[in-house]
Amino acid sequence: MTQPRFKRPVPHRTQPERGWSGLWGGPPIGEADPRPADDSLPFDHQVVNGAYSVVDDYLRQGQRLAEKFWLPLTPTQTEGFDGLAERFMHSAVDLSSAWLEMMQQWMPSTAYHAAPVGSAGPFVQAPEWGTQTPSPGSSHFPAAPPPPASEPIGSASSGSVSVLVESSQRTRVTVDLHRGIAAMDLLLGPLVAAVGEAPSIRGVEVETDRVQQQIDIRLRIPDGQPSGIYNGVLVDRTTHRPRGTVTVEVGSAS
Amino acid sequence: MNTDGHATLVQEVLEDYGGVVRRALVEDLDGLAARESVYRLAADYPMRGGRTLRASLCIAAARAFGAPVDHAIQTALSLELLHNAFLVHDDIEDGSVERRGKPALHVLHGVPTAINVGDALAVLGLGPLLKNRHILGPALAWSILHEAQRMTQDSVEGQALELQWRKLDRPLTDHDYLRMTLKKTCCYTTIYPSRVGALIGTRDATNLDRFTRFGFFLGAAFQIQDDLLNLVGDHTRYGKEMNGDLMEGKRTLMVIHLRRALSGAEASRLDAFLALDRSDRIETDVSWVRHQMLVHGSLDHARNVAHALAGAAVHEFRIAFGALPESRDKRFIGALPHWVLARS
Repeated sequence: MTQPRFKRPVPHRTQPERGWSGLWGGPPIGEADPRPADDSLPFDHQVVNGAYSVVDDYLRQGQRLAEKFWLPLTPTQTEGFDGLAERFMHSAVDLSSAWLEMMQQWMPSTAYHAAPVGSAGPFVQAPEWGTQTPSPGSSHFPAAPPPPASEPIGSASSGSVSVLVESSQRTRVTVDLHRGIAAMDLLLGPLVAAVGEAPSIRGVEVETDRVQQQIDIRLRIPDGQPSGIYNGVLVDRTTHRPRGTVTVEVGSAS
Repeated sequence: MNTDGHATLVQEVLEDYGGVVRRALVEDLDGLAARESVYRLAADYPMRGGRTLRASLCIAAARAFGAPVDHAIQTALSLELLHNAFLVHDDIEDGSVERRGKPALHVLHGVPTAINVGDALAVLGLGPLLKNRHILGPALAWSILHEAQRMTQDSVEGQALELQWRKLDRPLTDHDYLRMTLKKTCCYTTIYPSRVGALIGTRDATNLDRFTRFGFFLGAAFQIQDDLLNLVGDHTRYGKEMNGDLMEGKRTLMVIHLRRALSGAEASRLDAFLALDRSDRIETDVSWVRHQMLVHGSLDHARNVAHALAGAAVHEFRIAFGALPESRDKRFIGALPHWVLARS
């Protein structure tokens, strides 16, 4: 004879306690009261839960703004002249963003290049905590942080880089380069999906004009390439050492 | 660390960073004042003192993540200029007569001149953000500019909300108050300084939501305590007109609580008092409202809410900054929730 199987009791809630109406006395102006009152909570819990609902709403507003700015456009949004204008604006924003990042990598030497913390790319080793923090108790300001152990990204040398993208989808390209890379013979491997099993982007080429200090990167995104982030490594053909990264964010087809 | 320890540390750091920022600000304005007198007036509020909490929090957050002061100073300077611009305009909008222990700017020089000085301070605040391009690089400077744009927009929306409430004929809730405070006070007092400090310190390599939460709870506790000090503080240290918020008809947490507690004729009397223009409010009515707040526990209610929010700020501090190595800057930021409640 089998015993009846014990089951967990159904919890009275499965979400964080964010009930606030018990404290707040009524719905906010122009909004419906999202949750019933929960007067059983201690006062301070009600206060904090209510306050979390306020700040979470605010963060969601920020996310919606960001999504409006960056997400690919839906077909209904792109119809007609207004849609074209909007697409143009989005492309201009993407282009200016890529241009800014590129300029950052190639601008003349400034204090910026000496500060490595949080720089993107796998070739920058973040310094150990403490190497840049002021000594506790000190009332004096520390000197600028020491340079990282590894070679920093960005170039102090003259030169330029161009990126040519052939794609039917919205695409954003970020290039991280090591110092002096324009003098190297480079190879760019396939761009591999950062997440998931999407096929790699293989239509990539890089050419370096070592005399003119010019790097040309050409990317062809196949039609129907799944949206997502793809990373590729720039490798020095001579030393076989990685010298930079190319990151492509592919949006869904417009 | 006990309450005295928190207060001492916060005071020391505010003096250190505040001194650096204020000197830079006054030097810049002095240089400009030789050309146009408007900048001499623009230097008035900064030279009166002030805590420079916003600028100091920005610098401390950046330094807690390992950035040198030089990387945060321009952003802090911009924040201080914008803060003073807001003060000049707020004093006009609220009809305030005192600021930092002296007559408000519009009282001294008239409303048109004061508005122009406020405009000048706001525009000057853009300059340091542009200088960031040479110090931090274009991408990071651009990100900070984006943050500044949203902060400014939220701040004016918060102020608009509070101004609208003065014409509102329905009771408000504590939830409304927190929503307004988030935008009007927290965004530029604690959220933005925390976010841009972390942005600079990590070179835009961290999720900033946690700094928004920390800044919100800290800023809301700060504002409620500020409102309380307007009713029960020491005037010589407070630096503004006592009971000025009641004279201006501000919907503070205490007023909202009191309105909820009153009924019948008393509720109607409070509504009628709030509907008046500032010039029509009289001292007798202000005393009556203040007395009712004591009777109905409105001050205690606000204190309890401020304590609960400060507790949440301590919790969010541990999430946002807890993993960082110990430093004076980290301890300063961690001490702020305790300090906002202890200040008089």
